[in-house]
Amino acid sequence: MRDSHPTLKRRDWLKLSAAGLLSGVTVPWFESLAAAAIKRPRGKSCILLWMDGGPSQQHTFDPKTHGEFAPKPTSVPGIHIVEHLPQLAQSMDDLAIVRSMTTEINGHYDAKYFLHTGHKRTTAFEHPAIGCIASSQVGLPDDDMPAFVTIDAGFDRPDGGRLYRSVPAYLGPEHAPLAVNDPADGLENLTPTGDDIDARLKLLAGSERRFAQKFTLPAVGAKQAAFHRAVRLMRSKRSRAFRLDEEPASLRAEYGSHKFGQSCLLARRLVEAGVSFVEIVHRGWDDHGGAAKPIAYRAPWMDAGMAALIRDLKIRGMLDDTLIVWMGEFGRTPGDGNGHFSKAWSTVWAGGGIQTGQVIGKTTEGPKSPGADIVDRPVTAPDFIGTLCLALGIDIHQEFLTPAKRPVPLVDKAAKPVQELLG
Amino acid sequence: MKTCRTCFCSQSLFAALLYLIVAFPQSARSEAPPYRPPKNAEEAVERIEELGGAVRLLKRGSTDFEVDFRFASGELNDEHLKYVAALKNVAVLRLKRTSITDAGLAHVADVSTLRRLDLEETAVTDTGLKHLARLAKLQWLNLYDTGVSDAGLPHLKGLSNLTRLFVGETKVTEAGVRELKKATPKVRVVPDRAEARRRAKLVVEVAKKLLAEAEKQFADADREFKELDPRKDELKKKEDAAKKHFDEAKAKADELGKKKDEVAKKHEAAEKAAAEARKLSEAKPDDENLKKQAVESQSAADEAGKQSDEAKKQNEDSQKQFDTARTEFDAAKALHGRANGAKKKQELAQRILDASRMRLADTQRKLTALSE
Repeated sequence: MRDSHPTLKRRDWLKLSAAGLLSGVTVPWFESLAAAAIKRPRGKSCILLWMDGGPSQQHTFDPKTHGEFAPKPTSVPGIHIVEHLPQLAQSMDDLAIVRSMTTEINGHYDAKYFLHTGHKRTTAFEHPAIGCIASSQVGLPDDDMPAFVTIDAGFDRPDGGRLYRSVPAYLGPEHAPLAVNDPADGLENLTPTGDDIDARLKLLAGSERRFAQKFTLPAVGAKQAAFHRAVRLMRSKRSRAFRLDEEPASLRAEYGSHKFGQSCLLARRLVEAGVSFVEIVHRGWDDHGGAAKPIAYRAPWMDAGMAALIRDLKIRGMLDDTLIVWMGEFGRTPGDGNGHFSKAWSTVWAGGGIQTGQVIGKTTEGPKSPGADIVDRPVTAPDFIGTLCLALGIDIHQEFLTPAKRPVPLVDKAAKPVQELLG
Repeated sequence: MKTCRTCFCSQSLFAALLYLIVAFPQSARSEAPPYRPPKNAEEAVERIEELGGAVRLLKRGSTDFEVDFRFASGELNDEHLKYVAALKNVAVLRLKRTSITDAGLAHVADVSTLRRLDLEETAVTDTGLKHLARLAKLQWLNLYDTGVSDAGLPHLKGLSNLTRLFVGETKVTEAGVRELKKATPKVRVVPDRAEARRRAKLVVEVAKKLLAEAEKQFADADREFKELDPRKDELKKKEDAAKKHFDEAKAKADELGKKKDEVAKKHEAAEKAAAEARKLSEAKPDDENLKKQAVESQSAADEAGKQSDEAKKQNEDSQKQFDTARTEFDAAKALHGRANGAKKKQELAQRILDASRMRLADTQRKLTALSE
């Protein structure tokens, strides 16, 4: 009767981590049979397409008439993007472009921090990243699958500054992301080696209990919690979501053989399996030396992956429940895209029930330096994070306490979410 | 279950099994508990959670619920759906990938408040759809990857609130959809294959155009690479020589410019002196000495004028030579620069060409798939 033993032991060591090291720990769901509480609203899932380094807006979604890439018509009359993204152009009715992002910070790391958290970086404490916020606020509580997953979608060139890593900060270590290094490989070390996993776990539980009693530090509880979640994921049927080889070859081809496309396909699978926030990171958009040629060779795989994702979600009826956001930490200098440019740049939104088929905000036209400034509807980093939170169903007016007991709003109080997107 | 000789043995075996089923309902290999009519809504929620389902508020501040069986751990059977009918205000029911069948839809139809029903990847067929006709409030029906076909769609004709219908990966055809839309014109059906084909054609056209451009640019870059790259060293020597020549021409032009200015100054001074002398002479017309001095002054001034003209001409010539040298130097530098950059340019053009080829192949394949 081997079936009974794993659950008994699972109860034991789950109780261990529940024994009080972590604040706000959740009770294993099979122990809440009698509780029968109605759960909080599910909110939406989010797939964030992070183009690290700062993609040039004039070579993608905000081309200018006499620029290096001419504006070309899309499936929505009046909206033009570059010719190099033809699939996305034909999906424009499912997209919304915000062209008036204006975010002050031109340095890579600080800008990445600002756009991931909605707060300026300070030495006093850390703010949680949007993926961790989603995990905490709309993630499935106490689930087999992690609520937040990051996927490495490859690497183009060595510039772009230090990579930003999402931290949960005061939301709790259980909201840190799970990282996938290569979508084709899925999750490494998912199957335990050997038959004695239960015996080994029992041994570990004993020593962990003794260690935890001796050293009552948050880091200890965090590490143990992370380990237990990993074991739980290993035992779950839903971990098959990490296996791309279960998808038909024709669909994998449609997303494109580039890591980015395969990451998008993996993201769809993860969202289906209950993950709330997937962040796909492609590094290398920091095109000092001109954006035209690099974007000409990146556009095909970016177009294929992102458009295939939107089409695939749509045909499965998942698009309304899944928000997609395409962005970097800033844009690039108008004209050749040679330098960083945070004054006037673009983000692109799809799904999640937002109002698509529109452009929000404008940048200046010619004849002198087109795109050098925004014309209207400024969208700052707090505005952006506030909009994203609202779109996912997160209450932006909450406050949290830092470790030093200082109250911090989830979203800056001055933030003005983009209502035109939210409808 | 093997029955033993003694009552006691079979009883304990039964008890053990019962213990397992009741105490560990979530174990992957055991069966889900059978349906027991719930006493009230709270108990129905408990039973649903026992099965791995979730009952959620639809939105903050709303009184509508969603019942979500997508991550149900046990095998969900048709009878279990009766729990949903025991709840009030259920607006959304998610049954994606569950093991329910057409018979289960009879119980779903009792959930009169249902606005959204997700049946993707279930064993539902045309027969099951007839139950759904009772769901007067239904707005959204997802039948992606189920066993439905054109024959089942007429059952949906009475659903006047239906605005979204998903029939991807089913045997439903464009003809079946057209027929349904006659009765329910408001409904948007996904996918719209005709529209998808039209857009895919446009995409292929653009991919062809961009490929043609990429091919031309690669041809240019490749030609330049083959012509100039082998000549890199030669062109560097030429640039260095042109620079030397340019530096020399500049130095000469500067030198002659200075000389021209000096000589012009001398001429100006000489003319001034001549004018002075003439004035003095005219004041005393009978003075032969003054007359002689005036004449000498004037011829000195004329001589200085000639030298000034000569220096001006030399300066002009040197300026022209300097301009020529500069133009030649710029050209040599540019050519050498092109030669240096030809390899990188060709590699970039190759990357763009490869990506463009792949784009055309991929988008053509998609169009073909849509046209089948």
